[in-house]
Amino acid sequence: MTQDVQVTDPFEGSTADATETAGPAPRWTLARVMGPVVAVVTVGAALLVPLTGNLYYMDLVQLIALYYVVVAGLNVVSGYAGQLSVGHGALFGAGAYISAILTTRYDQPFWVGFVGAVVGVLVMGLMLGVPSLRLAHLYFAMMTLGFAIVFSQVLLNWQAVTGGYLGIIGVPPVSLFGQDLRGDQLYYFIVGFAVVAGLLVTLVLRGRRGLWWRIVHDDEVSARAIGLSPSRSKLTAFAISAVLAGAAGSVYASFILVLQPDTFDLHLGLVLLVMMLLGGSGSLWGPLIGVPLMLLIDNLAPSGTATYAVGAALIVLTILMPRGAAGLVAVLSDRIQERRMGSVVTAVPNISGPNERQPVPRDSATILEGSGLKKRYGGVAALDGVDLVARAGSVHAVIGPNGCGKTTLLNVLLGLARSEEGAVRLEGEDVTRRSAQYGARRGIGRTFQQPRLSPELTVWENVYAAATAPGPEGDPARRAHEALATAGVTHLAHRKAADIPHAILRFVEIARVLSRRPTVVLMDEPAGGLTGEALSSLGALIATMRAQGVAIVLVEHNVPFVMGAADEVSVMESGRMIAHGGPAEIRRNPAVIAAYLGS
Amino acid sequence: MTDIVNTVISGLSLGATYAFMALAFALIFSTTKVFNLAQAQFLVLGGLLAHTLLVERDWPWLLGALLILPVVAIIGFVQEVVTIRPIKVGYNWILTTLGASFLLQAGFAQMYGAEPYPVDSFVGSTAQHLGGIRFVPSQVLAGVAVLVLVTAIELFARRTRPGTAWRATAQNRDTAATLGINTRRIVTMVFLVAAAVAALGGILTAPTTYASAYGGDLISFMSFLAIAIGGMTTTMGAVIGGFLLGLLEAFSLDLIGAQFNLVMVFTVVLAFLLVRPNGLFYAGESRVV
Repeated sequence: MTQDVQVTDPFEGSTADATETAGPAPRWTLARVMGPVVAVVTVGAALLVPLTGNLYYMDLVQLIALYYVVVAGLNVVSGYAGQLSVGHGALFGAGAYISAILTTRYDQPFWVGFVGAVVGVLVMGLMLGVPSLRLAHLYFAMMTLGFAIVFSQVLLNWQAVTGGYLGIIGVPPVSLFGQDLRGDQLYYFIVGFAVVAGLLVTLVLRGRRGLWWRIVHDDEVSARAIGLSPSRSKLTAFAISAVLAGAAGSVYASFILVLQPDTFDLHLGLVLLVMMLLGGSGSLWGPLIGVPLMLLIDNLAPSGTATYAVGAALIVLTILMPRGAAGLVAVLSDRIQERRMGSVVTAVPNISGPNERQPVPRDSATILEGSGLKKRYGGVAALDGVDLVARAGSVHAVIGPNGCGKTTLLNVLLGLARSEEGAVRLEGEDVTRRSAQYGARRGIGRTFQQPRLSPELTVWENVYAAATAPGPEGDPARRAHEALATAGVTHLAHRKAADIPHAILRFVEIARVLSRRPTVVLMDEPAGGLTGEALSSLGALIATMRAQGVAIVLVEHNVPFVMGAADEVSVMESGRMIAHGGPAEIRRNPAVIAAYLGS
Repeated sequence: MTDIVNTVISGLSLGATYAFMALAFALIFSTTKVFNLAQAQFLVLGGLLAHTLLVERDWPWLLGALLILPVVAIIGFVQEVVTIRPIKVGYNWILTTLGASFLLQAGFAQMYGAEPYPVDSFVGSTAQHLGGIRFVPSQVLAGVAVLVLVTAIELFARRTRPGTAWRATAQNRDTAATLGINTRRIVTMVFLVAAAVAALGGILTAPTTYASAYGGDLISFMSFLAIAIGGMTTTMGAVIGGFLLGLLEAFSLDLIGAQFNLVMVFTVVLAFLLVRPNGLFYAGESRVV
């Protein structure tokens, strides 16, 4: 337990050695090895099944493969992006029906049906997602529920097209290059289809988008502060999952040959969700476990008890293993990892700032300017006509008692809240009505009173995700490495954020901001909870940023710290600026002394 | 003209069911920020039990209601303890309450089958005609009852000490707890009351809608749309949203018939959400950080 980490300070006595890199991630961990192992085992087993010649097993494997494709997509939107959908049964059904209608009623070849299904389901997904993904989680879940119910009604009632209760019979089999696929050929085609879909999903999820989705899932405010648009991210995830559901539906129609409306009711949507949960939502390989397991439960449950089984599974699984099979492995893997790396992180970043503090040049450019900002919450004026200017290479501190509107000011400057009057200008451009993500993309960085990092991601993943998010140019990996070095947290790169003490997370959060090469950084009480070496490291880090020409707005309570770090100080009280000037000037200002500093 | 009046009346009648359900949802949501997906099953259960007691056993209406409401309230409490209380993080309650809804529905289906059952109302449930205008007394009663109920709840919340404690809990549970309010007890009360409200809705609306084991999904969904229109957090908004949704459904039934009315209702609400994402009675944003 007491085995401390061996910390090698990458830049002893000097600052920001940009050549220092975070080093490779741990070569293997249980959680990392599981994915390839599970994939090889399941695909290997699937390839062996035809050797048995057992048609029942072969049908079952093909069904598993098709459901896997749907669940892999569901995992993107529900597991990674965190938007629960109970409508994927209906999307899958829509793909099947569109394909079947095109191939039977309009005599089109299979591939036309396939493309039609993919496009049609994508359009449905966008129509459903655009209005509901802007809102809280709940709306999306309920809207997909609504879609499932409406879809059932359409299948039953639009008899001219869907065949109503009778469904559609005589769907032609999959055909490629003029040849119908049957038996073993169809089997290998479907397994191959699932493998390709699985590889594509893996590719997307292991890239920067996978990280973005997890960050959007964890904390939308934090996501916007690094330039991500939560609704766009979620819509992309949903679109990808709709395409997969539509494609799988199309192949399903040509595999099963007879479509019945009750196959695609709400029940299927829930079964798919349970499959995802069983494997572990947000796990790359979870669906490979969850889908076969659930089909097994479904087939083993005595007839008539399927609804009880699904209902009970939802409750028991969610409570017992909120992160599914993959969650159990992750816990085990973390424990092994902890034994290897030691569990306690105590090393405080050791940063020494620039040797000399240069005065701010007179012609220093105004980067961010707020003028006449007003914001009311209920009856309380949080901002009541506030002006503030942040200049390049200069620290503008804002002090004032709790609740005087400092945090609201930062929110309004970034665009997390909107000023009712006045204007915010970013390098001359009026950004008053722009979103936070727009501001973040144009160079505003923001840290929070409580560090807002994704706890399950490593420090590196947190910083790298921000570096890759839209906005800054140049190699994101290099920017991320440099930012980690500047903030003195390189040695923590492969630690999970959840394992790192609060005080050190502040430095990680600053590294995340720096990886985006911001022109202005808004800091919300960065010194809160810092003492001793950590506090002086923070001072040095702010001085380094200042020396690099970053404009800094520093909201802070620690007055001695502020007086050491700031070039100019504004004092707020009840939503107004009551004083503004250099640190020495402010210290002597009678109004400030009366209102805030005390005698 | 009388056509329109009749459509409005039938819309308000449909809306009474959604208003009851939306009220039950909003009570829970405003207090706990949980949307209990099993809640509609209590409306179904209220109707089914009303059939058993009032029709099959021929009990007096009041006696039946007096037994049904506490029984369903207790089931609602148990459901909360099993499927909502253990959920500590995130939106996992969507899954557990959905699971509870499935279990309850499967149970109802096993006991009652899939067919719809009639229920009596003491004011009569046959259509009355007044001039060209057609109305059903039991539905008028249901509509009036839900309005009286929501007014009483609003008055309770605003004018009494326990009501104030309840509002404090709804606003911020942790802060309320620090102020010495027994928030656990308030949440329990809310779930008991919300289940009883749903059950009363079932008893009062079943004379015209019939009680059916599988009725819950659709009512649940429609009431959610009602809340989306009215705003998630105000009980009065939920009830008004319920009536508005009923009107929307009645007019779309008139326009395009029963086959695709749901498609139309759903599309209109989606379009509405594009314009007013937070509903009609949204109280205003709160600070994000």
